[in-house]
Amino acid sequence: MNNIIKELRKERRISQEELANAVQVTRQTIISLENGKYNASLLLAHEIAKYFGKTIEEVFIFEEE
Amino acid sequence: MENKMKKRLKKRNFGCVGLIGCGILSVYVGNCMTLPVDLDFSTGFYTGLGFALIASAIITIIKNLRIIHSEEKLKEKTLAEYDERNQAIRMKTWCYAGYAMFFLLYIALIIAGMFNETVMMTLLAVFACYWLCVFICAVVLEKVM
Repeated sequence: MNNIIKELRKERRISQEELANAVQVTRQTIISLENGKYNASLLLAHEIAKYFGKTIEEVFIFEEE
Repeated sequence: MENKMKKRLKKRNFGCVGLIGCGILSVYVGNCMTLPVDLDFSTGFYTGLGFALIASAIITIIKNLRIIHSEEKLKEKTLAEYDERNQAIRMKTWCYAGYAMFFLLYIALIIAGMFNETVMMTLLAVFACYWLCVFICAVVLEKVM
């Protein structure tokens, strides 16, 4: 599943550390999310979307296989 | 969440006290009891095991107390412990280690059978216990989740 977390973060000039602290995960998790190596749980996806003021579907792009 | 972590660490410290008890018991068994089979290495083995348990429990208690009394360390520990990616890694680690253990036990069982019946039977018992644990976990999790 792709996401636009990196783009949203750069738009708002937020560091990975700040985002990680805001959604209560480690910086490593944010890095893995941005690299597409890890898929967020529904709860974390909701927290990240809420932080950016967007819906989950706007932040996380689900592609049908 | 930090309060939840504090409670968890306090519970772990309580568990460590139990480990200290086990360590003391192990030292007692090795030095003060007459064992059914007197083997050369038993005293050293039980004593060493006991002291290792006691030492690791004490170190863990001290480490946990330092974390509990430092806001910064508590915050770091809470993040590391409750981070979902870390939790997923821990679950998968145990899962893959379990698969590897199953495979290695089987190989050891086959090889041991060629040389020593006692070792083979011991490994077979471990193999059976391992499968029993897997079965029990599957049944319990099926009901709970």
